[in-house]
Amino acid sequence: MKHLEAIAAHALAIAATVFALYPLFWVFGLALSPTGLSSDARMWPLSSSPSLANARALVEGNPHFWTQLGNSLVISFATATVAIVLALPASYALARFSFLGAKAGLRTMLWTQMFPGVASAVPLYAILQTLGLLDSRLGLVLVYATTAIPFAVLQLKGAFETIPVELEEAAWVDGASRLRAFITVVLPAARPAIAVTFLFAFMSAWNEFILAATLLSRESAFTMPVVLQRLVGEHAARWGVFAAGALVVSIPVIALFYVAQKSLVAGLTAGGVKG
Amino acid sequence: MGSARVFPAWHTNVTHTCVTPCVRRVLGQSGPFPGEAFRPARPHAPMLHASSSPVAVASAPALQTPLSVRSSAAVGVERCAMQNVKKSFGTTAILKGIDFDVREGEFAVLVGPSGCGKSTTLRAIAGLESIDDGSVRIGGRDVTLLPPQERDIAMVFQSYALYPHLTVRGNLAFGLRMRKTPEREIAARVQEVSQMLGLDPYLERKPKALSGGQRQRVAMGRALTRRAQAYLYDEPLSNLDAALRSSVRLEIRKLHDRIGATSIYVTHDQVEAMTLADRLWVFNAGRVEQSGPPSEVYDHPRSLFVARFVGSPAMNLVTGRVRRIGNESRIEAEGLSVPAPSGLPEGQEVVVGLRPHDLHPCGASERALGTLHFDAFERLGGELLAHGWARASGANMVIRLEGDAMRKAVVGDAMEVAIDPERLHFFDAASGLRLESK
Amino acid sequence: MTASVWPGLSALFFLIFSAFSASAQGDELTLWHAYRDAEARALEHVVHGFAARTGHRVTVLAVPFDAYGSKLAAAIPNGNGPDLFIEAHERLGTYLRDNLVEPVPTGLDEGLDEGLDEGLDAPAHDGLRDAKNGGNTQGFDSSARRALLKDHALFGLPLAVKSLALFVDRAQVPGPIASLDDLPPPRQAGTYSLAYENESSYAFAIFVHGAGSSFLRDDGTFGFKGAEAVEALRSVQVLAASGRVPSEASAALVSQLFSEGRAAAMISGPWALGEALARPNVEVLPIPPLHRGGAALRPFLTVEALFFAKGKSGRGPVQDLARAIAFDDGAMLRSLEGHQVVPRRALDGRAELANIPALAAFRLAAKTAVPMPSTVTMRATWEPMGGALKAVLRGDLTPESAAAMAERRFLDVTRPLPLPTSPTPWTLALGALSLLGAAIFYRRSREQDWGAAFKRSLPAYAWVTHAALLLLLLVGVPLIVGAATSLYAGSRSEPRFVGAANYVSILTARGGELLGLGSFWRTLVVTLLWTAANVALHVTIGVSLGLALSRPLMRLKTFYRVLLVLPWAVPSYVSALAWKGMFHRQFGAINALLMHFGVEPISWFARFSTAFAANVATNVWLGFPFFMVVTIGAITGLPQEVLEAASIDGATRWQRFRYVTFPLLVPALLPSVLLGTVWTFNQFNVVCLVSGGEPDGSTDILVSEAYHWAFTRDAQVGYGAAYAVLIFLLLVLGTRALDAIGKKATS
Repeated sequence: MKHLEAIAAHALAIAATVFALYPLFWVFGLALSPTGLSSDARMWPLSSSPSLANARALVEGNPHFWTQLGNSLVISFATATVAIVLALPASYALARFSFLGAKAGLRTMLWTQMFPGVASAVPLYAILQTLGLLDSRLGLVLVYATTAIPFAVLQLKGAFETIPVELEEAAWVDGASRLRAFITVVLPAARPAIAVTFLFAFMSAWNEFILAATLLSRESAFTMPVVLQRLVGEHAARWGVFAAGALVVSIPVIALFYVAQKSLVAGLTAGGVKG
Repeated sequence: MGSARVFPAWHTNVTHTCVTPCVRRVLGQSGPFPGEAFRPARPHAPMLHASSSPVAVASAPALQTPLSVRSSAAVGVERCAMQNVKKSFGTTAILKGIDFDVREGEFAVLVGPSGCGKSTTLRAIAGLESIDDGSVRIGGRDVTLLPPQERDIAMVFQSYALYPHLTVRGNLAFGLRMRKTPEREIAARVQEVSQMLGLDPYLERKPKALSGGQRQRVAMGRALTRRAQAYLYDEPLSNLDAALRSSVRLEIRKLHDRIGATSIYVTHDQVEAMTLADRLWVFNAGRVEQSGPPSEVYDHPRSLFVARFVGSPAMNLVTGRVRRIGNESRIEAEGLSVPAPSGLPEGQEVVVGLRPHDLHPCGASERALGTLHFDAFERLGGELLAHGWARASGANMVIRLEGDAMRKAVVGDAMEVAIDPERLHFFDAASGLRLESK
Repeated sequence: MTASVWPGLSALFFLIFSAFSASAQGDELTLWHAYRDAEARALEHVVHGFAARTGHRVTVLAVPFDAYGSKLAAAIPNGNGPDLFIEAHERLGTYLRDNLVEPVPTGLDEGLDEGLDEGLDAPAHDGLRDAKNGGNTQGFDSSARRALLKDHALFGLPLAVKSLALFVDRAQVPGPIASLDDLPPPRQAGTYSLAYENESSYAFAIFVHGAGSSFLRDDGTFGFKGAEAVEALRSVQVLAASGRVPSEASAALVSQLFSEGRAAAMISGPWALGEALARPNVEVLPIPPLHRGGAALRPFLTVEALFFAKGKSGRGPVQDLARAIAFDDGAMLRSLEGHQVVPRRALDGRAELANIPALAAFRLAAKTAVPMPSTVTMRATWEPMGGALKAVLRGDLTPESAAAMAERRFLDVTRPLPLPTSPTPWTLALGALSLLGAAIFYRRSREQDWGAAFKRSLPAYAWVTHAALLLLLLVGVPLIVGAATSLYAGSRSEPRFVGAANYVSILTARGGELLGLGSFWRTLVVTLLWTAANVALHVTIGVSLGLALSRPLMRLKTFYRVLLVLPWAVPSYVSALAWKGMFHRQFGAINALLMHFGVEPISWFARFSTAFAANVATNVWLGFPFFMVVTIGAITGLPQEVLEAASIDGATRWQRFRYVTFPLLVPALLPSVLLGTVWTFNQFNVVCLVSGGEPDGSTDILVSEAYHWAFTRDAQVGYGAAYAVLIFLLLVLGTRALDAIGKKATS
């Protein structure tokens, strides 16, 4: 009985792993194949003669490649940082103070997540233009950060609620101001949730291409998703190069996921996903 | 002067077996405090202040020697006080006008059942809880409107609230760091406290790598590194197991006798309260029911509530009416008959309190109160708590037996019991207040 | 599909303007283009030469093609746009409507068609006209020039022409080619006579024009109707049935089949030149007739031209730059280095170009090509035409009914705007509402409790204000403005207040069948089905895995966990595109797998059921790791004692799960399920990138439908916004109901 169950569990896990990995191997094979998408159906696109031609085309065929990769990194890190820095105090206040408008604010924030971006993209463009932030990294960072804030706030609010109030009270009694106690005691205790929230905010910026394609004009200001998307745009279908690029953009996030693996479970459980 | 209620000195016999004085006697012998840093600016003020209660002093002569040495300096400087503090959550009144004062070096214990407002009072002193009315003073300063960090107090939390990301050393140093104490001084004080509490081996550990008792010590140590106006304890022992609790309790008292820091201690455990307190505040439903030295509270409970709450096992309470039999006034209560205090009108309903420790088998020269029929025993080794009843419909009574009486007792037996009339307590059944002989 | 969203997005951005930035002054020139690679380099070469010669400073900005139109529309009215910009001629109508362009200054229009009867100004007479101009080596090809004429005024200087032509592998087809019939039949399975994008409306245009039909008539009405339309559809149907052309061929597949020698010929454009010319034996020819002696198959002609931005044509340096780019020397350089097909007569017979005969061939093809109509409604033809084409190729519809459907859908999209309504009642209602709100606020603020509560709240506000302000500015305002646009119709230059007309139209399916294709209600049903299927699978798979991986004795737990979260880590657009590739009929991995087991390959996107399944498979792949992680977290949080107590009470493993674990898990998972529901409901990326709504928009969900209306169907922004508002209302009400049900069920 126990054996049967173990076998069933492993069978399930293995099946799911195959399901999860196959498309990734497919992209991997595509990236290494010298011809891109092969013209006949293959279960395994890995060519018998793997080549780095696609990777080379990705890097060498694009004079701005390193700048663009750098843009993506800088913008994503800045987005996550700004979102977290703004979300931390707000979510702390929502977790610890009861104040007029807290409930309404929270509800409104949830609602904004339900409004499709299609209708708000245009006015957003206008606002950025007014602020002179079109085609700038700062503008993009601000936009990404604000879209990341609601989820971050929910997540962190949940995390703060699991931290015992006594911890802060002890710090106050020990002579720390509210802000000081927040920084020296609450933040370190919320580290796993902050790490996970940071990861999500980072990912949202790292993966975004719709706004980036609209708000950025200079090729040297592009982020990687825009570059990739243009590889398989209307008149281009450089699938092999795209696949190589897909690997490039996936690897950092996979690495971050791996690093955050432990916190992921803890952070999500403590976090807003729970409430 | 919180304890302004003066009780008549009609008891002078000091043979009661309450643990408190015994422990004090032991503690009182402890040597002088080694760490200069902890010696308060003023020597320890005695909790048995001569000012209001000479009786109390007389009741504990063993204490006089060590404590009187310390009390030779100025006495009764107020350290922490509350005046008419009120607080309510919505329509529920939590504190209904608390008056309270703790003097320099005093160990004050706030005790009461859960929900009585004792913890709220402590938190209001700390500034963790705002108050609706009244004022709080610490070290002579009105701190009613000040946030906790400006009140200059230290606190030990029930959950310890150790900073999980800091080592024991970091936890101990935290308060000093917040106050921008020079690092050298921090190191010295942490060293001192960790030595005193035996934390040296654990200084570099994180709290989660400590046992419950060790964590408790760190929590204490964190408060003690500070030089605060007052040290607040919020049920600091309730997370420990029974054995550990009693040993830590002892240590706390010892520590207090050594360093004499002004302490305010909240607990729902009356044994803890009796053991530790210089002065007790018994809370009930948002009010201070009675305050005073533990022995005084024990010997003269001001109300039925205090009578029930203080003392273990709890006081036996029987209800009866005053009856005049000849020229003697007696109270017939649930199968027992006791002499009534003078001045009570006939027919008044009275609750009579008899401590199990005061009851004893009726001697030849004594007049029996009545006969107890035993139905259950609690054998504690050196003594026996016998449960029984005097009349089928009457209340369950407990009597403490020792020696021969203990060895001979059998469940199902009956025994005539007696009590020193001086040890009887009387309460007005209607108001629950103590009745005194007039 | 993104590609079709993009140009649309541009149109949306029209709605916006504010002029805060200063425009370029002095002899600073700005040129915008959307070229890439060789074309972009050639252009920069030309411009650098000009700058070096004249000392002017020229900023050349390569704007992404997708957002090009929107950027022009936003920038030019503000004065911070370019002086000159390069754009395809078919956008001219839009730019004229939006007042973004100016006629070419007279000094630059060589006007070589002078003296010609404008009445002859039709494609059929191009040859004649060119002959009349015979020997004239000045100016631009008439066909190209004519595409840029509006009311006898020339807008833009032609830079390059793009049209489809026939690439022939001379190694396989040595003989003359008088018709497509002359291409050799396939030698074996997997080889073809001719490769072309047989599902694209752009390539289909060849046959439409060959059959004497058109997309749009000269007067802007729909042209694809009647016997000619049926004839065009029938010809591609026959061609597809002959097995001589590959089916479902994308641009990538076409060029690949050709370059691997598996197609004897292909129909493609100048963008394929670079690759094709690298091989020997490739010749480019104008597309011959379908059958010997039949009518010529004429592709669409796109003329890329240099336009003068509004208010910029008067400056001398601007004209100089235009001349340098468009005229002879610049043209030569662009031809040579950028492989552009330049419709410039001076280039005829130039020796430098002799070894690139393909350029001449393309120019020849361009001369008989049909300039793409530049009217605003042109963009509304692609979707209906493509739909009809695919329906016929799949055999879903007869050519007759497909043609009828195309017209119906065109009319649906280009239906007249609702009548303008007076905004007064709405303004009044809004005013009354705000007054009421203010009154309530005022009364509450006078209540003592409220005042005290407010005072108590003040310290908290210090913590939330900055985030709240930023959210208000960058999320709140766009959202409110966006929602407000749902009360408008029309283009950005002439928005028209129509009140609730958009909503009425949506909810009544524009007068058509309530559950007809593309109606709100049908899309809603699909969306609900989509959400339910996804969430059910997400939760089932995620929770089962979570349970399996939480078994205390499970080996390799961490190993599985690390691998199983990978789909979450990969950017969703990357995964969606990869899945689209895997579902490809011809070289997709899924069909390869099916064939491996002896199952016939499936045309995944040809049928609703399979296309829907493909979307769901992709989205399940994307979403299950999240639920797995949440489940693991929830199980970790379960009180272990309760389970132990249950097993002591004699519960079997199943009973323990059924009566203890499961009921405890539900409340912990519920919020995530709600969140997942909202995400799935608005999962635009997957639907848009995988099936793209295929077949025929039947797999579109509400969000992708909103995008189509806002961006691809003649940019009916207000209509799209109304969809968005409806989605929002549905979600708010739906999640509240789900939440209530969930709470009831768990309590």
